[in-house]
Amino acid sequence: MDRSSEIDRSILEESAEDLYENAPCGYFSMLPDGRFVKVNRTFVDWVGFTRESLLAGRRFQDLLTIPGKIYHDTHFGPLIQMQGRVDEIAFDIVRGDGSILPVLVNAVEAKDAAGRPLLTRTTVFNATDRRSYERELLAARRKAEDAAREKADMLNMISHDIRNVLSGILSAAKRLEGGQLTPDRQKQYLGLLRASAEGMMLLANNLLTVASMEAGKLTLQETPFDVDEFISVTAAPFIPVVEAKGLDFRRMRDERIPARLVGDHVKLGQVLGNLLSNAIKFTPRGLVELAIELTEQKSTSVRLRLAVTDTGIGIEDSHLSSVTDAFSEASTKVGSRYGGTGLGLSLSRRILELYGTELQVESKPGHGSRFWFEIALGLEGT
Amino acid sequence: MSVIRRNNVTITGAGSKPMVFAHGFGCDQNMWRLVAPAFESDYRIVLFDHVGSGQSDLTAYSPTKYASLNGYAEDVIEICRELDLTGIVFVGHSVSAMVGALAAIEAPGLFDRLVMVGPSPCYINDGEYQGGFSRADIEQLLDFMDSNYLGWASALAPQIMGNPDRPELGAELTNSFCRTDPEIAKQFARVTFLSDSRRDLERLSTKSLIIQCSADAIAPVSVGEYVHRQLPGSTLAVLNATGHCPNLSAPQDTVEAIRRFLQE
Repeated sequence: MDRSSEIDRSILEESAEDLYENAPCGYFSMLPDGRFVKVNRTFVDWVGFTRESLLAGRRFQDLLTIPGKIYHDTHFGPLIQMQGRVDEIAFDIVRGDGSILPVLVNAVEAKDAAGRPLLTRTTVFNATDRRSYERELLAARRKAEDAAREKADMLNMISHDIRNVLSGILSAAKRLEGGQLTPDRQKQYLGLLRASAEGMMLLANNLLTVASMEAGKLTLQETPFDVDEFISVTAAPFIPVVEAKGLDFRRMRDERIPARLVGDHVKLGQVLGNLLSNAIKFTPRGLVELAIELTEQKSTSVRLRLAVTDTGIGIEDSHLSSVTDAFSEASTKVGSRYGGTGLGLSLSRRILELYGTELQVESKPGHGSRFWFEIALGLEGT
Repeated sequence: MSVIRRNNVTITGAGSKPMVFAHGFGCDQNMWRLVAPAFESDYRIVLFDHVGSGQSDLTAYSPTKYASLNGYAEDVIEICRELDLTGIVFVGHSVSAMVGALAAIEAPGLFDRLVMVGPSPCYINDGEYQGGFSRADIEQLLDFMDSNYLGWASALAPQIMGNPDRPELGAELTNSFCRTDPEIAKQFARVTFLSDSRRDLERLSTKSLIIQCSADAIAPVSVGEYVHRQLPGSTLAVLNATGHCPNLSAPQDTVEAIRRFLQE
């Protein structure tokens, strides 16, 4: 052996000790009961106890948080004893100064000739960053799972809504098919058919709006429109059911409002449609009113108040807050809890948000409810 | 679903008197690998995994049924009845000591003797009673468990669980004795550590042995002594061993303590 290889070896021997002491991970050996028998400098520095105090009978589990101690005794210890090693167990070490060090621990057991456990050789990785990534991943996963569950629930609720409407359509169709109906009866069933189909249309439009909302594509499509036509198109789908229920359906239009305005009349019609649909649903007798009032006139725009008022069952004070909550919750969540009705309210709120306004409600149980919002629309040609 | 398959029941031993071993929170029936063989020549050894642990059928897990230890006790009784066992020596580790007690209260005719290894009827401190933990400690445990179950996510566990007849699929995975669905593990932890069976002890009439380690962070000596006081006629054996699992760390002492008790 020449001189140069001897030097090489001495460097290598030096390095092994140096590596043990200063490696970027903690090394320690412990007795089967957890008492430290050898620790490297990195571990000593990380945990902030002196080497002497660690070697004076302190056990690995003594450095852990309470949950870690439980986990050590129910998982880590038994695993080493059963399989001679453990891989990547996470623990939190309580440092000498009381701060927490998240670590990842691997351990392997050394046995004597008779197979009795002698020592557990352990490596400790600093897992501070990794732990926070994991927490973020976990939070993201839970959020995604919640959203998936809400969607499934919403699908369930909406399916019930659809079924109810369809059973109305089917029963009307069956009666019509049976023939021998007076013209009045025929007209009544045809009206029911149409109202049911209009209800389905409203629901379908709401679902399409949810889809574009979730794709981040809910934007206003502002075009010129005729105010009178807007009112009659919005009200038309509800006429048959209003007639069938024998309700008085009033449409009020402030004469001072210009004939033509600029705005997203499709989405505004959707909001009013949702409000009308609810008002009619919860009004057994009396009146439902759609009113559009001018509250402010400017040179290039007008400010309107659009309101749907009914003489229905009203909303108890205790329920009113949950109705207003429904405006503010995410749409699928509302859909999962309140079905199409909740979905409609929630969507209405989102649409109005695009106009920088919000839905208001006042209600008196047994007397009726009033839902309204104010909105600024442009004048045509300005 | 057969109870035998559901709880991954394994039967060995040359004797006729049955000895049923139940593992605690954490791992599975492998916890008895150093103790059960010592009784094989004289007893019929029945090992099983609680539903949600080891190689049990995870699809049989029901959060409602297993919302209390009674669900686990029901399973124990079902296993014993399915195998037509009577005069049973039941050996329960950790939470399963209480599961065994509940089963013996419910069906006293089935059980001859009860061995409780590291029992605790209540882990939470309550006035004079010192269980060793606060409720906040246990809430932190549940949160902490997320750190250790991330990598063991449900995507992996069912592969092992779903192939009980092909253990080689799981053989390469270390920590497998403790692998399970993370949500089940958390509920089992909650049910275990928030359980309070202190009032049940007075209804237990089966002759019992309490095996207590001299330094156990999970079931302290004072708790073992409490159980001993609450069970008139019970035997308390305090081992020199430390920790919560003398069945692994001091199997010989554990076996001897059980033998002495069975000869009484």
